[in-house]
Amino acid sequence: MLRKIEAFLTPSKLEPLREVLLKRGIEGMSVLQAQGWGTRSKVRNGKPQFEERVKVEIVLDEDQVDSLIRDIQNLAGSGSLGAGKIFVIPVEDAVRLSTRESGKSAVS
Amino acid sequence: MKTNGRKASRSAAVATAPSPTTPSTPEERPNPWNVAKQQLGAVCDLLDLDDGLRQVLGTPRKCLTVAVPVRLDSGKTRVFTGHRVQHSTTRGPAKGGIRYHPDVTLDEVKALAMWMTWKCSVMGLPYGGGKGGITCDPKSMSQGELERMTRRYTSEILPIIGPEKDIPAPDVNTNAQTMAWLMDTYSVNKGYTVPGVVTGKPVQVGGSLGRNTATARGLMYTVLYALKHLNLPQTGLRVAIQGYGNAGYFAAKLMHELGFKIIACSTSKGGILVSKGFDPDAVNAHYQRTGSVTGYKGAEAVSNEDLLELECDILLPCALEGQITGRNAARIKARIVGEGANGPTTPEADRVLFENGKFVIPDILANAGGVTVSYFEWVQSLQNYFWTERDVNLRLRDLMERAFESVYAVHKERKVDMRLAAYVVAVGRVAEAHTLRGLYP
Repeated sequence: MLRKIEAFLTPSKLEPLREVLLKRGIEGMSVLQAQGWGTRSKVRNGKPQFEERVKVEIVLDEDQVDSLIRDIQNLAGSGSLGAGKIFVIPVEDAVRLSTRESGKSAVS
Repeated sequence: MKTNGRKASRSAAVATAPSPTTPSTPEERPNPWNVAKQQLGAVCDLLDLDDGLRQVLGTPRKCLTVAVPVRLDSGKTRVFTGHRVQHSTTRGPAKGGIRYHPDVTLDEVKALAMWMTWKCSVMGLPYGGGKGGITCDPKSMSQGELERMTRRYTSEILPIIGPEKDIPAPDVNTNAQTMAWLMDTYSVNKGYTVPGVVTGKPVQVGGSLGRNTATARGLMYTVLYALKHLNLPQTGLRVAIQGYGNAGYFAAKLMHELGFKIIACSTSKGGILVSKGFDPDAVNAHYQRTGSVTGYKGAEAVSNEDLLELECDILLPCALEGQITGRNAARIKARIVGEGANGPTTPEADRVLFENGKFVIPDILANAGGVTVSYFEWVQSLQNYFWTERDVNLRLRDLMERAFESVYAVHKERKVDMRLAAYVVAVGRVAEAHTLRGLYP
C-alpha cells in the first residue's frame, strides 16, 4: 500500500530532510512554500499569526512510513513548540509517466 | 520477586482491583470468586442496578468441568481436571485465556472469566468473558504430554467453544504452540481449518502481526494519554519498569524511541538502575545472554522492591500481582503508575495512591492491548485476510484512545479513581447490552 507523507516543517529542516531521504533510498520529495498558524503560533491582537513553513510531500511504500516519521521527528526536534506536523494519507495509486509503471514500482 | 498475593484486605475491598493471574499459594489469598462478586456488588451499587440484573451479571453463563485423561511418557495414565467458564456472552462470544497451573480451581476460573468480561467491555470489544484452565504442573511435563493434554482438553470442551461461541487464548504457562494444537484439534474434529477458534496463534497459522508488542504498545498509549491530561511533557521523563518480559521490554523499547528516559528495569533475579537512562535493546541483549538484567555495564543493582520506590516519573509494574501494597504505597514517588501486569496493586495501596495524587492506569485498561490485538487476530482469521503490522498498530492505538477517554471522563465526572471508573464503564456497558437484548423467553 502506498502512503503520502505531508510534513509541515520550518524551512531550515529541508536540507537535513533531503539527506535523510537520500540515505533511505527514497526517490524524491516535493516542496511547497506555505504559511500557516496552529495551536502554538504567536498571537497578536487576539489572532494567531501566520508563520513561514514548508510543506513537504513524499509518496512511499507503507513499510517505509514509520522509519521516515521517526527520522523526521529526530531532525525536527521533539519538545520544540511549533516544530510542525506530519500527516499520513493513503494513496490509491501512482503512475510514472516516463515508463508507465504504476503502484509501488512507480515510486521506488 | 515476592508474590504477595491478595491477602485478607482484598476481601474487604470496595469496588477496586482486578484479577490475580499468576496464582499464589491458595491459603495466602481469599477466594477469587468471592472477591470478584464483591467488586461487582460495589460497582452495581454505584450504577444503581436492580437485583435481577445483579444476579445476571454475577452468575457465569456456563461452567464446564471435564476429566482430561493423558497417557504419560512413562506409559501410565493420569487424569487431570480442566474447566472452561463462560461468564458472559451478552456483548459477543466469550473470550479469555487457558492456563495450566497446579492452583487452578473452578472458583478462580470463574473469577478470571468475569474479569475478562469487564476487560473486553472497557475496550469496547464485541466479546463477553471466558476463561479456562487445567490443574496440572506443566513444568514437570514433557512437550508430548502437554500436547496430548491440550488435545484431549480441547476435545472435551469442543462442544462449547468455536469462533462464534468462545475463543480461547494463551495465559499462564500456555503459548502460541498450545494454541496451534488447540486450533488443529478443533479443526480436525470439524473437518476443515478453523483459525478463528483461538487467538495467540503463531503467525504462520493465522496469528496476527503486532501481537507480540500489543500489550506494551497499549500500555504506552495509555501513559501518553495520561500525560496529556496531566499536562506533563513526555520528553525526558524517567520510567522505571518492573519485569522485562514481553510487556516490560517492549514498553521500554517503544517509550525509549519516543524520548522517555528508561532508568530502571528488573526480572525475578533482580534489577538495575542507570540514572542517566539506558538503551533497552542493549539491556535485553545482556538479559538474553546472561539470563538476568543484573550485571549490566555501568548499572547500579536494585531489588524489585526498591525499584518500585525509585525517584521516577512513570512506574510500570509489568511482572507479578500484589507488588504495590499498603506497606510500600506511600513511598511510591512516580506520578503515573501504569499496570502492565494484572493486579499489581492491592486495594489498600490503591487508596493510598489515590490520596497521594498518583494517577493509576488500571490493568483492565492499561494491559488490554493484548486482548485488543487478539480481537484483531480473530477478525482477520474470520476473513482470512491479513493486515499489515502498521495497520494493526494504528487500529490498536485508536481503540486504546477511545477506551482511555471513556474511562477518564467517568473518572472526572464521578471523582473516583481510574480503576473504579474503568469498572463503572465496563459493568455499565454489559448491563446496558443485557437490558437491550432482554431476557429470553
